[in-house]
Amino acid sequence: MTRSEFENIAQQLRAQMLKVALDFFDSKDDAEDVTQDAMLQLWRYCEQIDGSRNVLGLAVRVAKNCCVSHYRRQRQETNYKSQTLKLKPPIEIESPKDQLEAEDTQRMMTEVMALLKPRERELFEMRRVEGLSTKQISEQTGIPTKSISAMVSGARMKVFLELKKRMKQ
Amino acid sequence: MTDKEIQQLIDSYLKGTTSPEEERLLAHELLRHDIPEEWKAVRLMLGELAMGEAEYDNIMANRKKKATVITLHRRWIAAAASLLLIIGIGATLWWTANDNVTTVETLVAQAGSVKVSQQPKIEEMKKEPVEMKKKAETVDSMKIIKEQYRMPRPPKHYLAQVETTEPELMDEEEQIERAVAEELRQMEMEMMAQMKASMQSDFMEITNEIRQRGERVTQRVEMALNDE
Repeated sequence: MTRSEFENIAQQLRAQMLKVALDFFDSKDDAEDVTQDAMLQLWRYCEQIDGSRNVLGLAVRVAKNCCVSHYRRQRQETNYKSQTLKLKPPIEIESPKDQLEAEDTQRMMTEVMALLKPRERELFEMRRVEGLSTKQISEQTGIPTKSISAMVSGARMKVFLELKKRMKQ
Repeated sequence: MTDKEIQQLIDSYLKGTTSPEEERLLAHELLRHDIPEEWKAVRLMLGELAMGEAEYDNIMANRKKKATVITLHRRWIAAAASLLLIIGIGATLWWTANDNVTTVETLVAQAGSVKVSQQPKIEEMKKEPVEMKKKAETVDSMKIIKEQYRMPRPPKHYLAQVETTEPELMDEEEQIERAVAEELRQMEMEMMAQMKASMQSDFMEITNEIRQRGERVTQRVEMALNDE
């Protein structure tokens, strides 16, 4: 999707993402912040998004993720204040070690994905990122549903076994 | 969901036979911290977007659950409060109504007995003018009625005000009527303050009934006094 194509549907995407954020936050300011953040993320990756696919569904998923991230940040701030006041923190704060581990696993996932054939990777991502059903993928790609299931299964098994192997090391 | 069910869902996922809804459910189940290493690999495969979405849905579901519990608690509290209010008002009305009837009946009876007890005195006062005798009897019985209807005395600093505002030469009967009316009005005001808007119509009916009852009682007192 080109930047100008994205700009054409930006208002529609923004309205949908704002609705998701308003459902989640009581504060309109928080909802606006989250929507802005989600729009920025979509803008950054818009050239990697296939415009013929379910962009609205993807936008909703991104908005939900941004809501959760914002919510976590707010909780961490509350924890920090609680610690400053020597109160018991309401949730455990993610330690730097946890953060490093998360970054490592993400890097590992990217490396494993690179092992897949381009078609396998495409189908795998369609399910993973866009949350499309086999039928929807079939409609968009023209591949029969049985073939899609077989290819997705093959891709998943490859990734799973590789991840298991790497995680044991 | 049991561990066995989760494992079955993971197997279906790896076979590529799960629907997006089932994958959402799986992501929701894998949000737990205490999961086996194998399952962590599946969590990674589901991806950040799916896990974030599951967490979003989870938080929203928890909020709804809490909101429902709070609403239910509020409803119970409101129901209990209404019940207590109804019982309280009912008891007050019953007690007040009974007390009024008993008091007035006692008064009427006493008024009668006063008449009888005053009989020897009246005999003694045969020589006195009739008007004087009647006046003496009325004053005595009025004193007794006033005793019965005596309102709780206000604090001293109010007393002066009350005494100055009331006319000094007020008719005794009028004073009693006023006292009864005042008592009924105060009772009405107190209960009205407790009533909710929705209950006011029922309450007004009860109040009217009590007012009519009070008026009947006042009439009976007047008749008893007139008989004297």
